[in-house]
Amino acid sequence: MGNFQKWRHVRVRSSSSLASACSPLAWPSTRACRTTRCRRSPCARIFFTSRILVLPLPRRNSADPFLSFFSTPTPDANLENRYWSFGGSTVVSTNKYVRLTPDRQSKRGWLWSKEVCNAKKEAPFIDGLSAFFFFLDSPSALTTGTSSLISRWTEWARTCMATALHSGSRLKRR
Amino acid sequence: MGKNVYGDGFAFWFTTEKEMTGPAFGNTAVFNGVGVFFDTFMNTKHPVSFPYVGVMVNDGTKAYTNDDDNFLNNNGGCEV
Repeated sequence: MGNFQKWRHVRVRSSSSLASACSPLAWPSTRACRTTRCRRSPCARIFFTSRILVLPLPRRNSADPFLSFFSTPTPDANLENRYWSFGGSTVVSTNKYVRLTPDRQSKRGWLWSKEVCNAKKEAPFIDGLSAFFFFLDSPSALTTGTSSLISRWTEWARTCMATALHSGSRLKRR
Repeated sequence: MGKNVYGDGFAFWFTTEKEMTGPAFGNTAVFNGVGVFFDTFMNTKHPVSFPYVGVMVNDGTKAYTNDDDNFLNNNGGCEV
Protein backbone atom coordinates (compact mmCIF):
# COMPACT_ATOMS: atom_id res chain seq x y z
CA MET A 1 0.00 0.00 0.00
CA GLY A 2 3.00 2.24 0.20
CA ASN A 3 2.64 3.22 -3.40
CA PHE A 4 -0.82 4.60 -2.87
CA GLN A 5 0.42 7.14 -0.43
CA LYS A 6 2.40 9.02 -3.01
CA TRP A 7 0.90 12.36 -3.93
CA ARG A 8 0.40 11.60 -7.58
CA HIS A 9 -2.00 8.79 -7.09
CA VAL A 10 -5.54 9.88 -7.44
CA ARG A 11 -7.20 9.24 -4.17
CA VAL A 12 -10.93 9.07 -4.32
CA ARG A 13 -13.08 9.22 -1.29
CA SER A 14 -16.76 9.45 -0.70
CA SER A 15 -18.09 12.78 0.35
CA SER A 16 -21.50 14.09 1.17
CA SER A 17 -20.73 17.74 0.65
CA LEU A 18 -23.01 19.77 -1.53
CA ALA A 19 -20.45 20.38 -4.21
CA SER A 20 -19.56 16.76 -4.53
CA ALA A 21 -23.19 15.78 -4.60
CA CYS A 22 -23.64 18.09 -7.53
CA SER A 23 -20.57 16.96 -9.38
CA PRO A 24 -21.11 14.85 -12.47
CA LEU A 25 -18.36 12.68 -11.14
CA ALA A 26 -20.60 11.64 -8.33
CA TRP A 27 -23.71 11.03 -10.32
CA PRO A 28 -24.27 7.44 -9.30
CA SER A 29 -24.44 8.49 -5.68
CA THR A 30 -25.86 11.94 -6.03
CA ARG A 31 -28.85 12.63 -3.91
CA ALA A 32 -29.81 15.63 -5.98
CA CYS A 33 -30.04 13.45 -9.03
CA ARG A 34 -32.58 11.14 -7.51
CA THR A 35 -35.34 13.57 -8.17
CA THR A 36 -37.67 12.56 -10.91
CA ARG A 37 -36.65 15.11 -13.48
CA CYS A 38 -32.98 14.53 -12.95
CA ARG A 39 -33.37 10.91 -13.87
CA ARG A 40 -33.89 11.85 -17.46
CA SER A 41 -30.32 12.05 -18.62
CA PRO A 42 -26.89 13.13 -17.49
CA CYS A 43 -27.39 16.38 -19.36
CA ALA A 44 -30.56 17.03 -17.44
CA ARG A 45 -28.74 16.31 -14.24
CA ILE A 46 -26.14 18.90 -15.02
CA PHE A 47 -28.77 21.38 -16.05
CA PHE A 48 -30.94 21.04 -13.01
CA THR A 49 -28.04 21.24 -10.63
CA SER A 50 -26.19 23.97 -12.46
CA ARG A 51 -27.99 26.76 -10.65
CA ILE A 52 -26.33 25.59 -7.47
CA LEU A 53 -23.01 24.80 -9.06
CA VAL A 54 -22.30 28.35 -10.10
CA LEU A 55 -21.89 29.49 -6.52
CA PRO A 56 -19.40 27.01 -5.05
CA LEU A 57 -16.79 27.70 -7.72
CA PRO A 58 -14.02 28.61 -5.26
CA ARG A 59 -14.34 25.24 -3.68
CA ARG A 60 -10.60 24.76 -3.48
CA ASN A 61 -10.75 25.62 0.19
CA SER A 62 -13.16 22.83 0.82
CA ALA A 63 -12.12 20.32 3.39
CA ASP A 64 -12.25 17.37 1.05
CA PRO A 65 -11.12 18.06 -2.49
CA PHE A 66 -11.45 14.49 -3.61
CA LEU A 67 -14.66 13.73 -5.33
CA SER A 68 -15.96 10.26 -5.38
CA PHE A 69 -16.85 8.97 -8.77
CA PHE A 70 -16.25 5.37 -7.91
CA SER A 71 -17.77 5.49 -4.48
CA THR A 72 -20.95 3.71 -5.35
CA PRO A 73 -20.66 0.57 -7.46
CA THR A 74 -23.52 0.79 -9.87
CA PRO A 75 -25.46 -2.35 -10.73
CA ASP A 76 -25.38 -1.43 -14.39
CA ALA A 77 -21.63 -1.38 -14.27
CA ASN A 78 -20.38 -4.82 -15.09
CA LEU A 79 -17.15 -4.06 -13.31
CA GLU A 80 -17.15 -0.95 -15.40
CA ASN A 81 -17.98 2.56 -14.45
CA ARG A 82 -20.82 4.16 -16.29
CA TYR A 83 -19.01 7.42 -16.83
CA TRP A 84 -15.36 6.51 -16.90
CA SER A 85 -13.18 4.06 -18.74
CA PHE A 86 -9.68 3.27 -17.71
CA GLY A 87 -6.70 1.45 -19.14
CA GLY A 88 -2.99 1.09 -19.32
CA SER A 89 -1.53 0.51 -15.90
CA THR A 90 -4.45 2.16 -14.13
CA VAL A 91 -5.90 0.21 -11.26
CA VAL A 92 -9.31 1.01 -9.88
CA SER A 93 -10.22 -0.20 -6.46
CA THR A 94 -13.90 0.49 -6.10
CA ASN A 95 -14.71 2.72 -3.20
CA LYS A 96 -11.07 3.29 -2.35
CA TYR A 97 -8.78 4.78 -4.94
CA VAL A 98 -7.67 5.08 -8.52
CA ARG A 99 -4.02 4.47 -9.21
CA LEU A 100 -2.89 5.74 -12.58
CA THR A 101 0.56 4.16 -12.52
CA PRO A 102 2.64 2.13 -10.13
CA ASP A 103 5.93 3.52 -8.92
CA ARG A 104 7.89 2.21 -11.86
CA GLN A 105 9.46 3.76 -14.92
CA SER A 106 7.69 3.99 -18.26
CA LYS A 107 4.23 3.28 -16.97
CA ARG A 108 1.17 4.85 -18.49
CA GLY A 109 -2.35 4.82 -17.23
CA TRP A 110 -5.44 6.77 -18.11
CA LEU A 111 -8.99 7.59 -17.19
CA TRP A 112 -11.27 8.83 -19.93
CA SER A 113 -14.72 10.18 -19.49
CA LYS A 114 -17.35 8.37 -21.49
CA GLU A 115 -19.46 11.49 -21.58
CA VAL A 116 -18.89 14.01 -24.32
CA CYS A 117 -18.22 17.52 -23.11
CA ASN A 118 -20.13 20.16 -25.00
CA ALA A 119 -17.57 22.94 -24.92
CA LYS A 120 -20.09 25.55 -25.98
CA LYS A 121 -22.18 25.00 -22.90
CA GLU A 122 -19.84 23.58 -20.33
CA ALA A 123 -16.59 24.89 -18.99
CA PRO A 124 -14.19 22.40 -17.50
CA PHE A 125 -12.47 23.21 -14.26
CA ILE A 126 -9.90 21.38 -12.29
CA ASP A 127 -10.10 21.18 -8.57
CA GLY A 128 -7.87 18.92 -6.61
CA LEU A 129 -7.45 15.86 -8.74
CA SER A 130 -10.93 16.00 -10.10
CA ALA A 131 -12.26 17.55 -13.25
CA PHE A 132 -15.50 19.46 -13.03
CA PHE A 133 -17.88 20.53 -15.71
CA PHE A 134 -19.89 23.60 -14.97
CA PHE A 135 -22.61 25.04 -17.06
CA LEU A 136 -22.15 28.68 -17.80
CA ASP A 137 -24.98 31.10 -18.15
CA SER A 138 -23.73 32.15 -21.56
CA PRO A 139 -21.07 30.79 -23.86
CA SER A 140 -19.44 34.20 -24.03
CA ALA A 141 -18.24 33.68 -20.49
CA LEU A 142 -15.69 31.30 -21.94
CA THR A 143 -13.63 34.05 -23.52
CA THR A 144 -14.60 37.37 -22.02
CA GLY A 145 -13.58 39.22 -18.91
CA THR A 146 -11.00 38.39 -16.36
CA SER A 147 -12.42 34.94 -15.95
CA SER A 148 -11.45 33.63 -19.34
CA LEU A 149 -11.21 29.92 -19.69
CA ILE A 150 -7.45 29.83 -20.02
CA SER A 151 -6.77 32.12 -17.06
CA ARG A 152 -9.13 30.12 -14.94
CA TRP A 153 -7.46 26.97 -16.06
CA THR A 154 -4.07 28.29 -15.11
CA GLU A 155 -5.27 29.35 -11.72
CA TRP A 156 -6.99 26.10 -11.03
CA ALA A 157 -4.10 24.13 -12.35
CA ARG A 158 -1.90 25.80 -9.78
CA THR A 159 -4.42 24.96 -7.15
CA CYS A 160 -4.58 21.43 -8.40
CA MET A 161 -0.90 20.83 -8.06
CA ALA A 162 -0.75 22.44 -4.65
CA THR A 163 -3.63 20.30 -3.53
CA ALA A 164 -1.93 17.22 -4.86
CA LEU A 165 1.23 17.97 -2.98
CA HIS A 166 -0.73 18.80 0.12
CA SER A 167 -2.77 15.64 -0.07
CA GLY A 168 0.40 13.63 -0.41
CA SER A 169 1.60 14.77 2.95
CA ARG A 170 -1.84 14.42 4.39
CA LEU A 171 -2.17 10.85 3.26
CA LYS A 172 1.15 9.95 4.75
CA ARG A 173 0.00 11.03 8.14
CA ARG A 174 -2.81 8.55 8.10
CA MET B 1 3.40 20.03 1.56
CA GLY B 2 4.84 16.87 0.17
CA LYS B 3 8.58 17.05 -0.02
CA ASN B 4 9.13 15.08 -3.18
CA VAL B 5 7.38 14.50 -6.42
CA TYR B 6 8.01 11.42 -8.48
CA GLY B 7 7.51 10.23 -12.00
CA ASP B 8 6.91 12.39 -15.04
CA GLY B 9 3.59 13.89 -14.12
CA PHE B 10 0.03 13.70 -15.28
CA ALA B 11 -2.29 15.60 -17.54
CA PHE B 12 -5.89 16.52 -18.07
CA TRP B 13 -7.11 16.26 -21.62
CA PHE B 14 -10.03 17.79 -23.42
CA THR B 15 -9.78 16.32 -26.87
CA THR B 16 -11.91 15.11 -29.71
CA GLU B 17 -10.45 11.62 -29.59
CA LYS B 18 -9.92 9.51 -26.55
CA GLU B 19 -7.99 6.44 -25.46
CA MET B 20 -5.16 7.17 -27.90
CA THR B 21 -2.12 5.88 -26.08
CA GLY B 22 1.10 7.75 -26.74
CA PRO B 23 4.13 9.51 -25.31
CA ALA B 24 2.44 12.67 -24.01
CA PHE B 25 1.53 11.67 -20.47
CA GLY B 26 -0.06 8.55 -21.85
CA ASN B 27 -1.93 10.29 -24.63
CA THR B 28 -1.01 10.67 -28.25
CA ALA B 29 1.36 13.55 -29.00
CA VAL B 30 -0.78 14.84 -31.87
CA PHE B 31 -4.23 15.69 -30.64
CA ASN B 32 -7.20 17.94 -31.22
CA GLY B 33 -8.13 19.99 -28.20
CA VAL B 34 -6.53 21.17 -25.02
CA GLY B 35 -4.07 19.49 -22.70
CA VAL B 36 -3.18 20.63 -19.20
CA PHE B 37 0.09 19.09 -18.17
CA PHE B 38 1.39 18.70 -14.65
CA ASP B 39 5.03 18.08 -15.33
CA THR B 40 7.14 16.95 -12.41
CA PHE B 41 10.30 16.04 -14.28
CA MET B 42 12.55 18.47 -16.15
CA ASN B 43 13.95 16.81 -19.24
CA THR B 44 16.11 19.78 -20.30
CA LYS B 45 17.19 23.04 -18.76
CA HIS B 46 14.46 25.64 -18.47
CA PRO B 47 14.28 29.14 -17.03
CA VAL B 48 11.45 27.96 -14.82
CA SER B 49 11.35 25.59 -11.91
CA PHE B 50 9.52 22.34 -11.77
CA PRO B 51 6.88 21.10 -11.05
CA TYR B 52 5.40 23.10 -13.86
CA VAL B 53 1.87 23.32 -15.18
CA GLY B 54 1.60 23.89 -18.90
CA VAL B 55 -1.28 24.29 -21.29
CA MET B 56 -1.27 23.40 -24.97
CA VAL B 57 -3.99 24.05 -27.49
CA ASN B 58 -3.71 21.90 -30.57
CA ASP B 59 -5.64 21.46 -33.79
CA GLY B 60 -3.88 18.30 -34.80
CA THR B 61 -1.04 20.06 -36.62
CA LYS B 62 1.43 20.15 -33.75
CA ALA B 63 2.91 17.47 -31.59
CA TYR B 64 3.68 17.41 -27.89
CA THR B 65 7.46 17.43 -27.59
CA ASN B 66 8.50 15.26 -24.72
CA ASP B 67 12.22 16.01 -24.94
CA ASP B 68 11.87 19.68 -24.03
CA ASP B 69 8.81 19.26 -21.80
CA ASN B 70 6.70 20.74 -24.59
CA PHE B 71 8.18 24.22 -24.17
CA LEU B 72 8.26 24.45 -27.95
CA ASN B 73 4.49 24.43 -28.21
CA ASN B 74 3.54 25.52 -24.73
CA ASN B 75 0.72 28.06 -24.75
CA GLY B 76 1.12 29.13 -21.16
CA GLY B 77 1.61 27.88 -17.68
CA CYS B 78 3.12 28.49 -14.32
CA GLU B 79 5.46 27.07 -11.77
CA VAL B 80 4.01 25.36 -8.78
